[in-house]
Formats: sequence, structure tokens, C-alpha cells
Amino acid sequence: MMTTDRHFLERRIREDLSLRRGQLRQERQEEAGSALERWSSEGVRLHWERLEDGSVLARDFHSSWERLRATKSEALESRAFEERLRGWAASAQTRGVELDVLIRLHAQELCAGPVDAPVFDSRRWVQLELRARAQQKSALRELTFGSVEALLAEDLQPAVEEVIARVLLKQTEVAAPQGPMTVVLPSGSDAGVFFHELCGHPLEGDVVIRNASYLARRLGEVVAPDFVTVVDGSLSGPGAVSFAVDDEGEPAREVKLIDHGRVANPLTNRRTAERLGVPSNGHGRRTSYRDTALPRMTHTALRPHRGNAEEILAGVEQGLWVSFLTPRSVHLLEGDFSFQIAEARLIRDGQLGAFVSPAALEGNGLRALGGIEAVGADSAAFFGLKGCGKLDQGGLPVSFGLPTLRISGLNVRPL
Amino acid sequence: MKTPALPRAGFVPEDGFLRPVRETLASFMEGDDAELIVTLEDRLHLEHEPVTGQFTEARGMSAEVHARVWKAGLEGRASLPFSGENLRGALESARRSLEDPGVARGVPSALTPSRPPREKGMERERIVAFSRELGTAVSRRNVPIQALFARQLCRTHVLVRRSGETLVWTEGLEDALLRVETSQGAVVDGVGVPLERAVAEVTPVLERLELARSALESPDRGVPDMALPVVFAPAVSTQWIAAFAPLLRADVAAHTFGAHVGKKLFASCVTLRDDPLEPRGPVARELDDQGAAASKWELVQQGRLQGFLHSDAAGAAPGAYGRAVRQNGTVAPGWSNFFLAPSPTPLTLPEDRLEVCARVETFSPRPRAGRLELLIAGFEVRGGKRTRAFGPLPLEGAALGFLRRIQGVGQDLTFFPTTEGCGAPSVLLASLSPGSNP
Repeated sequence: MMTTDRHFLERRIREDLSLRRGQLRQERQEEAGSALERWSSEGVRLHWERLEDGSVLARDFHSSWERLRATKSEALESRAFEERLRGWAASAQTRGVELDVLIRLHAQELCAGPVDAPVFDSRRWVQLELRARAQQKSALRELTFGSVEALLAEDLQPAVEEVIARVLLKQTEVAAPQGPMTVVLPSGSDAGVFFHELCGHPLEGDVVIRNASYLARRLGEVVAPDFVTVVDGSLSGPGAVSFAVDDEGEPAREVKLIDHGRVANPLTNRRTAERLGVPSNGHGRRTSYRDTALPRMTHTALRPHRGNAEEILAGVEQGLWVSFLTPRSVHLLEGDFSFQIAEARLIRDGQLGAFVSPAALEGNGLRALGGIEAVGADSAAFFGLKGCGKLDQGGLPVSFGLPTLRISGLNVRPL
Repeated sequence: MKTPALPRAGFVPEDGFLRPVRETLASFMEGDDAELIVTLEDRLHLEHEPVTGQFTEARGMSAEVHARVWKAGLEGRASLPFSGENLRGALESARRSLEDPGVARGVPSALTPSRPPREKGMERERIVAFSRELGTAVSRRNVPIQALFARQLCRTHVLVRRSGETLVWTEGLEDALLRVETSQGAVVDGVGVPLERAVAEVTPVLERLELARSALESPDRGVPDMALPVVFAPAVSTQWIAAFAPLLRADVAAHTFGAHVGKKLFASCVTLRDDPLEPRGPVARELDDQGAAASKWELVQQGRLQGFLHSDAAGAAPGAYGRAVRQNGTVAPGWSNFFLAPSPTPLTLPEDRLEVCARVETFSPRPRAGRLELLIAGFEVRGGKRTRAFGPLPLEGAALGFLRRIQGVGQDLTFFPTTEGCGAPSVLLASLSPGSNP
């Protein structure tokens, strides 16, 4: 058993600037805390403390604390955004669309690892959410940037026009089809959550130790075509969750969950790695200094293969183009799943048709992985604001990488 | 200002702690009145694996200061981490929030007299002893407990008004979850009462888990007769009650149920109660997070909607107020020990029925308020005897629909930490047919 004490210090800022129903609001939360983790033959003890100058742990880890405090504190200057945000909303209003905008800054400075050899890391991203509403319908667009400057430098008018056009197109929505059908998930969409739920959670180290998922029970077995490789890692750069070391100070590594169709490796933190008899692959994450590190996902991506959306659609006579999925439930042991289709369009003879009403997308993980017919070369990242929950640690930032993907035989049921 | 030394949560702070708070308020002359609440929170999470005997423990304490400032019928609020500097800082932020835009609320009435703290504060030994007791009980039975998660939380609030009025109160929460793996998925049950009493609850919990496991592992499983009346055991009926609770928050319900207050929406056996002092519940709080007296409130009385959960007196029916819950610095209406009240008389069970006794864990990342998707299991009962098992079977629907279909309520009220501390007894519905899913 490893017995070296480890500590975790963090300074975390979350700042929201929102324009909702014409009202501009700004909210900033800033918190710093520290945790000391001690392993013994009885188990693990984590003692945490919210840090203020002069608190006990701040004295114990004085130099690390000073370094975190000295880091420049980024902020959202409402003056830099107000005119643009109000301009977008006014432009939407002229077309009968209400546009809400949220800009969220997330900045985290942390220090983790052995007490005598801590590792420092800096994480920051800025997210933009555009939500257009008209006549009971809504459309969402989420974009992620590496810094406030990068957001300010971007021409966002095309994204605003796209979300307005989409909500107007949704006014002619038709009833969702019913029954088994071919489903296409577009590149870089929120539908990337499909692999997060069906490959990521079932291969988290604690789940694998308990042999408690349909993939944990099939390690080494072929479950998907050879061109399907699913990875998880935090080294994908802008537009994705990105960091160099995990929340235990271990170097972050990319892990193959599905390797050329074969169930490959679990995601591990230090503790689950020790139980599995392997080195940690840098997936120990916590939602705050108050929590113990759990094996969690970061950026879960389906590796690109061949072709683009047009080519992948070309073979579909009738199907559904699903661009927005929300998880409803996944039975980890059996692999049975149910997602809510929040946004989808009909496919007829390889062409996109009308938007459809809400529906459920249901199936089984094994059959879905085995039913993958095509994976495009056009991979793109999606980093949503919702985050991932596990046990009582919710809202952990995660992102997805998805090329255009075609799966046959998934069941669609109108809700 | 120097940060005063923090007492542990669960103990009455001394003058050395209170003096800087009072001095800060006395020197803050803006507004008609102002108040500071310092909240100390001591939290312990413990995970125990009976197979390996290993514990994972996380413990710590945090402190925050919350300010309210009243001026000309408006109220401003702000929350900051506790420190000497932030006592003044919180008041300043609250004053600024009056302009952005202030909430229309007058100065609350005089404070409720403080009662001595009921909670003992944190005791790691109690929670460890409970885990060990459970491990021993488990080893005597054929229930493979995979993990136990226990939680203790103790919060002390110190409220000081500029007038000098002071109120100190303490609240506590203790609960424990047990997880059992079966070949059909995991089942989670729990004890939502103070752990010192929970030792007595171990046997019923293990009996429930054994029954759930026997339904899921039974070799004699089939498709149930969906036309039979169905009895949901507390472990499953509570799921619907917990899904309904958020819909009764005054800020939500005004738009949905506002026109239905006073109307009979459910059968007379349905009474929904929120009682922060209910001794069987996991929560024990005499005052809410703003210092208002928390009391029993029947939101639905014998099927009739009486009102909603309120965090402020404005617009609240008598008894509905005093349900302010603070999360991430924001105050909103919430609940503490929300439950379907048990019947004074035993539930008459049909001889032929379905018994739903288990809910299989599904990884449901974001359940939507008011709707549920469950995987259930249980037994078909003929002539009063369990004949064969069924499940896991998907069941989905709206909590409102479930409540409207309740025909009878049992006496076995049980609270579950898995459902945000909500509770319910067994309930009887006419059927489980797909066409009439709850």
C-alpha cells in the first residue's frame, strides 16, 4: 500500500455574465480550499478546510498557498460584452425570437501530489451559451474558448444567426417517427454524450473493480467493428476539458476504452489503480477540495475514421439525424439505455428533412456498439455547461469528441 | 478586521466570536435594518467496504457569512466566505444588490426565541460504530453488501441583527446508504434517521434488501399480469414523492398549480406533509436557513391542495413559511422531511396483486423534476402468496399521475436518504398496465 501523504490545494473562480429577458446579470463565486489525504491500513482519510489567510492548512502549505494566491485572477468585464449581447438580442427580437446569452468563466489554479513534491496546474475555459426561444420551441448553441480574449476575438454573429434560424425552422416540427431505425449523430454535437454514458461510465475503475457493468464483464472482447476506437483523456486542447495533471497530481494520460472494437482499459485514479494492480492513468478527479478523488472521465472521444457527413448520410433511405441527446437512464450491468432526443431531424434518401417532436432513443449498449456502420473523419469537440454527476459529486466539467456517426437498429419512441 | 477564531459547529459561540459581528453591524449605518448570519458547517462522509474492511473518510469544516439589508421595503442579500474583512464586505454587497433589483420584502418580525441545540455535533466514532455494527449484522445474513456510505452534517447558524437581537441554532443530518449488487443490477437502500437510532433500523433495511435480492435473483421470473392491482413498497413509492416535491416550491408552483389551491386533486388517503421536526425523518431543524421557525405544514390535506413551500412570509399561507434552504449562497424554498403521511388504519391488500419491492439502480444523470424512469422488480401474489418474481421492468411517468392514481396508503412510513430525505409508506394503485403508467 502506498502511504505517502498527498495534498490538494485549489483556488477556483466561476463567473457568469448573462442576458436573460433583457436583464444583464453578473455573478462571481470564488473559493479556495485545501485537503490532506492520508492512506493507512484502515483506508483513506481526507481532511479538508476552506482556506482563508491564516487558516491552519494555509500555514502548513504556506509556499503552495502563496503561489496560488499570486496567480492573476481573470474576470469577465461586463462592459466589454454588454453592447454585443444586447445587439444580438435586439436582432433576434426583430424576427420574433427571444435570445438568452450566458458567458461562463471557469478558472482553477491547483496544486496536487505528494506533500514534498507538489505539481501545479492551471485550468481555464470560457463557455458561451446561446438559447433562442420562439413559440414554445427552443434551440441551443454552446461554444467553448480557451480564454476571455479568445472569446472577444471571435466573430460570433454566424453562431447567433444559426441558432435563430434553427429555432425558426423548428416551428414546422413534425411528429417523431416510431420504431427501430438508422440514426446519424452529427460531428461535434452534444450527442457525443452517447459514448460518455455507454463506454465511459461502464469502464470507470470502481465500476470495473466491482465487475458491475456490461463492458467490465467483457474486457478484451470484441464488441464493435474494427474502425471503432473510443478514448478518454484531457490533452485535446481548446474546446475540450484540458489539463496536464489530474486532481491527485498524476500525469494525465489518454486511455483507450474501446480499441479497434475491443473493450480495452478502465479509467483509474490512484486508489482504483492500486486495487487493479496497474499504474494510475491520471483520471482521478474531484468536484472540489471537499471530495475524495474518483475515477472520472474528461474528454471522451470517438476516434475519426473515414468520410464526412454528406457521405455518411448518402446511404440512409430513412432515419433520424440526432443532434441533441439528454441521458435518461443507463442500466450499467445490462447496458440498456434510454436517452431523450431533444433535437433531431428526419433523414429521407440521404437528405435532412423536418425537425421532429421530442422522443426517446432506446437500445442496448452492446447492440448499439455492434451496430455502428460508419464513423466519419470530421471529428469536432463539444463542451457543454451541464457537467457530469457521480455519487454525490455533480457538475464535473466533461467534453466529448464526435465525428459523424451512423448506427443501425436503435429504437425511437415518441414522448 | 481580524478574523475571529471559529468554534466547531454544534456548539454555542462565545463572546469573542460574537463581538466582531456585533461591532461590524453597529458601524454599518445604511438601510432601515441589517443582519448577518454566520454559518459553520462540519461535514463527515464515510464509505465502508465490508468485504475489505476499508474506510474512505472525508471530513472538514467551512464557514460563510450571509448578509441581509433592508431599505424602503426592499431587501438585498449577499454571501461570502467567512472572514473578519468579509463581515463588512457581505453587508456592502447586500446593500449594492438592493439596486439590482432589490426584492420587495420588509424587515422580518422579531426573532423566534433561541432553544438549546438539540444536536450533539460531529462524532466520527458513532458513524464508525454504526458501520461496524452493520458489518456484523450483514455477516450473519446472506446479503452481500458491497458498500456503505454514511454522512453526518452539523450546521450552526449565528444570526445577529443591528438591533442587537441574536439567535443561535443548530441543525443536523445523518444518513447511511447500503448498496447490494445482484446479477440484475444494484439495489440501494438506506437509513434516514440519526445513526444512534439507526442500529435498530439495520434489521428492517437488511430484510428489504434481502427481499429485493430474492426478487431479482429468483430463477422463477416471468411477465407479470399487468391488470392486477399493485402495491409499491416504500423504497419505490418514495421515488414518486421525491419527484413531486420540487413541483411544490412556491417559486415553481405559482405557474403550474397556482389556480388549484383549495381543490381536491387526489384521493382522500393522500396527505403530503413537510415536517422539519418529524422524528422519523433524517433532518432535524427547528429554524430554517433565514432563522424563521420551521414547522409542520400539510401541503396536501386529505387529497386537497393547501399551498406550497415558501422561503418568505410574503404570499405564504399560515404554516407554509419557514422553508428557506440556502445552496451556493442562494436562498430558495425547499423541504425537510417531506413525506406522504401514513394511514391511521392498515392498508387492506387484495389477495391477488403485484408487489413492487425493488428499484434497480440506473445511472440517471439528471432526472427531470416531476418525471421518473425506474427499473422495478417484485412479485406476483396470488391468494395472498408470492407465486413468482418479475423484473427488472421499466416504468416511467409523471409523479402527479402517480399521486392521482393512489387508492390506498399503508402505515409503514420509511424515509430514504436516496430520495433527498423524502419518505412514504406502501401505496396501492389499481394496476401497472402500460397504458396507465403513473
